[in-house]
Amino acid sequence: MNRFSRRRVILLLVLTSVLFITFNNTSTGLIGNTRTAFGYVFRPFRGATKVITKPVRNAWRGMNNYNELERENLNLRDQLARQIGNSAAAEAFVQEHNELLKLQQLPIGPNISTVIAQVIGTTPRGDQQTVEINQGTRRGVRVGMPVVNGAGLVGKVTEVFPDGAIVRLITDPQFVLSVRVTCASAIPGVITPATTTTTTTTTTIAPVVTDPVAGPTGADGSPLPATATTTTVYNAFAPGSTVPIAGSGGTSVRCDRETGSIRGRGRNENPLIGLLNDDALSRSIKAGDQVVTAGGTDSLAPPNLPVGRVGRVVLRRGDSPIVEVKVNADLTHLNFVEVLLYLPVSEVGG
Amino acid sequence: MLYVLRRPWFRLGAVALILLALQTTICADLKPFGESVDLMLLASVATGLVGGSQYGALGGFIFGVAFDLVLVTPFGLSPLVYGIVGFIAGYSQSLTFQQMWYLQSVMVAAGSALGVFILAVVQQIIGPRAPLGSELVQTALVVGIANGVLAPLALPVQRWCLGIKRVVV
Repeated sequence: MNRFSRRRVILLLVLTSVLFITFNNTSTGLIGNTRTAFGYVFRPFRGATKVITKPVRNAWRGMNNYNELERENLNLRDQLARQIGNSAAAEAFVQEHNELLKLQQLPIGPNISTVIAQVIGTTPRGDQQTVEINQGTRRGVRVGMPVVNGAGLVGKVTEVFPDGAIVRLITDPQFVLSVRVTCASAIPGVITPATTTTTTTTTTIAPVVTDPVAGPTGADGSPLPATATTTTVYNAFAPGSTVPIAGSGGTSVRCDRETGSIRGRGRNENPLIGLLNDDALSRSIKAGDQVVTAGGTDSLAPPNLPVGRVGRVVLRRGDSPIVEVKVNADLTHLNFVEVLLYLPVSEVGG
Repeated sequence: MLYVLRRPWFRLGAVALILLALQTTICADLKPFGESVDLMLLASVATGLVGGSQYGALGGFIFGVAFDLVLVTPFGLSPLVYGIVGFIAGYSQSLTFQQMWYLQSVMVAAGSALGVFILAVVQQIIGPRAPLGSELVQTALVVGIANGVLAPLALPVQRWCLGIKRVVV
C-alpha cells in the first residue's frame, strides 16, 4: 500500500463525507428518504436485539436505580393524593372559563385528537436529544406533530414509521418552535380577575411541607385544612404567594409579554427564547413567567400548549434580552406521552 | 460467494450492523454517569489500531455512515469524524514499537476521547452546536474509559474483520 494510494483513499473518504453533509443541507429529501428506508429494514434487527439484551438492561437498571425508584414511588403516591383533590378544583375552573368564553362568543378551542404512546427507546448518542415512541403512521402520526405529556410540550415528531416514531425533544439543538411569554398568573384556561375594575378577593397560602406519612402540612407543622389543596391547582401559583381567587366577579385580562422562537441547547441546558423585538414589552419579562406555544397558521403546534417557565432573563444593552426557559416536562423520565394529531391551518387548507 | 464473505468491507459492514443494534438498544439504556458509550467510535479506533491508517479511515467511514442512518444529526458528520479518528489511530499505532494489550487499551481510550472532542468541534462548525466545556470533558472521559475497558473485546473482532492474525513476538 503506497503512500499515494493511501492519501487518495483518505481524501476520497473525506470528500464523500463533505458531500453527504452538503446533501444534508440542501433540502432534496434524499438523505431523509434513505434514513427512513434504512429505519424500515433495521427495525426488526433492533427489536430482536432489544429482546435479547433485556435481561442485561434490567439488571443494570436494578443496580443503579433501586433507591431512586423507591424514593420516586413515595413521592408519586404523595403527588397522586394531592392531584385527586386538585383535579376536582381544576375542573370547576375550566368549566367557569368555558362558560365565560361562551358568554363572550369566543371559540373554546379546536378539538384535537390525540394518540397515547409509550417511550420505548432513548437517544443513542449524547449530542442529540430524541426518544422513540411506539405509535406511528398506522395511528395517524405524521412528521411535525407536537408531543405532550401531563406537564406540557415534550417535543415534535421528526421521523415516523408504521409502528413507531422518533420524537425530537425541546432540548435538542435542532428544535425550534414559536412561543409566547405570558405573565406568571395568566395561564391558558384560567381567568384572572381584573384588579382595576373589581374588588379582588385574595388569600395567602402557607408553604406546603410534605410528609410522606402524615400528608401535607403547613409551615408550622399542623395539617393543612381541606380548602388549602387549591394551592397546587395551577403551577403558576407558587405556595407561599398571595394569589387572586378566580370567580369573584372578575374579567379576563390578557397579559402577553412577547413572542419569539424557542431553541434547544442540548442535554443539561435549558432552551433559550430568541425574541423578535427589543422593546419595553420584552424587557418586562421576568423569572417565573409562563411560556406557551404561540400557534399560528404555519406553526406545527396549536396555541397555548404549556412549555415551561422563564428561568432566567439576561438583559443586554441595545439588544433583546436572553430568556432561558425551564421546561415543565421532566424529559429524563418520560414514559407515556400523547401525540397531538394536529396539522397547521395552512396545511389543512392546502 | 465465500470470497465475498471474507472481504473486509463486507465483514466491517456486518459488524457495523450488529454494533448499531447494540448501540441503539443496550447503550441507549446503560449510561454510566449519564453518558452513552459509543461502540461505533470504539470500532473505528480499533480498526485503525489493528489495520493501520487506511483501514482505520475506511472502517471509521463505514461505522459512521451506519450510525448516521439512525441519528437525526446532519448526515455525514459521523463518517467524517470517525474516519479521521480511525486514521489517527492507525497512524499512531505505526509509531509504537510494542503492541502490548494494555497499551492498546490506553490507545483506544485516548482515541475515543479525542473522537468526542473532534465531534464537538466539527459540530460547532457545521451545526447543530454541541456544548463545549466541562460537560464535554465528562463525556470524553466516560466514553474513553468505557471504550478502553471494552478494547480487549473489540480488537480481536476487528482483526477478524480485516483478516489479520495477531503475531506474538
